[in-house]
Amino acid sequence: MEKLALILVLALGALGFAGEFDDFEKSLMTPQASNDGSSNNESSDNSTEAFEQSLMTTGDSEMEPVYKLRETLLENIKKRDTAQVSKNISELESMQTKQCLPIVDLEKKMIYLDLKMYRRLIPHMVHEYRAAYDTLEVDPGYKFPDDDGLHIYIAQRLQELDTSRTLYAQYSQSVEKAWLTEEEKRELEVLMQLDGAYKDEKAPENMLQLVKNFVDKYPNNPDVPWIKKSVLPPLEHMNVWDMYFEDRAKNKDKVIESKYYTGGFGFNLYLLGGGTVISGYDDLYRKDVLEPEVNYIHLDFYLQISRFVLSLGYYNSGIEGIDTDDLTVGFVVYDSRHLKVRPFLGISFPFSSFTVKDYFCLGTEKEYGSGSMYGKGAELDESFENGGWVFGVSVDYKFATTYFLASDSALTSFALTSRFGVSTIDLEGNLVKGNGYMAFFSLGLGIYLW
Amino acid sequence: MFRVLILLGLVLLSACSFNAKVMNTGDTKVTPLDARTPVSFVLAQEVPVVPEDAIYRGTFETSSNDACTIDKMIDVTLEKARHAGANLVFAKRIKEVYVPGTTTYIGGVAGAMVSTSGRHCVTILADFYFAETPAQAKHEREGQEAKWKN
Repeated sequence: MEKLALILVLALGALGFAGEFDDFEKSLMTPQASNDGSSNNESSDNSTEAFEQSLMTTGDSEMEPVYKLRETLLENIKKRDTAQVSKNISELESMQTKQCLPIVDLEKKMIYLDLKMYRRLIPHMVHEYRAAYDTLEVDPGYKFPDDDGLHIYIAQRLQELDTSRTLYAQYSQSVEKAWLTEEEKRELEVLMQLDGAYKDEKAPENMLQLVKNFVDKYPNNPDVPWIKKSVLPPLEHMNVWDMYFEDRAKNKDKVIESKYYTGGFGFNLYLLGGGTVISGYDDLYRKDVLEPEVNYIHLDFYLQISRFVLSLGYYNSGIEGIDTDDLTVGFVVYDSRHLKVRPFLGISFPFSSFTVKDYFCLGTEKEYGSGSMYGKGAELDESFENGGWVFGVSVDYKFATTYFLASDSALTSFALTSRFGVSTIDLEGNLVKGNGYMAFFSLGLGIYLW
Repeated sequence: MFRVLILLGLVLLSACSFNAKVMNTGDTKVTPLDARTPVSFVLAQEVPVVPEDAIYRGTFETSSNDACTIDKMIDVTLEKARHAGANLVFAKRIKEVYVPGTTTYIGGVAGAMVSTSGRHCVTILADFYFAETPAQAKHEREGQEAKWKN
């Protein structure tokens, strides 16, 4: 036991580091009297007991070589012997078991940064990030040396870091001056900027650019597949509005298909119309007295609920000079991306649209004061008491369909719209009289919100 | 005229706004996760990468229409993630926004203007992923053990 104590003293003394010796170790160094062989049994027993105590408190025999190697590592760090540091780290890594963690990733990173071992830092940082979602495969109560000189050295290096800046911001000059290839420098820039990738509003955009540049420029870099899977995707999905419009565009066909035969609101503007009498309406009005006005603009509004359509509009009829207000109910028999067909049936209320060609008087007397006088150029305001029936079909060619404003479900369609039909109206006015059947058509443009 | 303009503005805004929904989900049908499945919430500022084998399930941003506090926003986000078939929420941005108050006229001739005060709300922008990582497995195991103990 005395020989063991002596060996320990010599070994500890050879290290020349007086920082963290515990009481037992210090006690071994001071009493040189124990070497001249005059130790008595009592002091020997006390030393043994203290030694055994120290093994229980600082660590058992499993940790002893770990502490020793960490001491060696610290010495080599101070000498800046990077080759030995690499060797020591590898040795410590090989000593890891489920009960003991000789060195952790953070310690390795701080050592590589301090000694500017950037070539070793690259794979280490990649490994650190890749293992971020792994668990530590150690037993509960595992041992980790957190009370030695190396630990204090790491703590000091950590305190020197400015946590408000990225690693790259603090080491960029050193990295750029280092003896590395351009590819290694750029990869280091990416890895050392990652810790600030999401620190503020602008950071992800800048990081995305940096990563994309690296991936595009060095596609054969062995870490690029990992960067493409783990780093790039979240950076590419930052702009919510862009993604919203992208989704919208992707789903457009599906949304349009889902809207067939559904409800909506439409407006049509008819710019061209005409028609003809099929039967009846003989001598409808005196052509020497009245001039029909041609109105080119007609319009209607319609509301569609499911397949049913309710329309109200101002239309041309098949007779010039007669316009109608129609209220119709329609049914969509065919609806597709480009075509919509809906027959309709309804009631039609006619009104006149004539101009008086010359002065005339209508009535039993031609003297002033009796009968009705019509001045030249006056508009004839006939009042037809009865309406009539109208039926026909509307055909819309939807030449463009787009989303309504910024909605992702409401659509707007622009169409060439047409209306064909037959109406039968009793025209019982003062100057315009007749009945029969007339055919009409109207062409125009429509807009449909659905 | 002013009221007409406000009404028009509101109509346009309502057309422009959209309900908070998960975006970029793709065409694949996803089975929502069970309500008891633990969902991990990872802050991108702490861990700026996602697992290598993670399957992207969409991106989601809470709106100020949702409840305002950070706890409630996290709950909303986790629930959306579960529904999107994701067991990992990668929170990229958590920011505070000010939502101005509103003034509404209630009642007829003898009605009154009712105002609500503005409030500070937290919004979260997060990616959803499904990943089978050791950490997730451990999380699920611990969840199960806690459940058995209870």
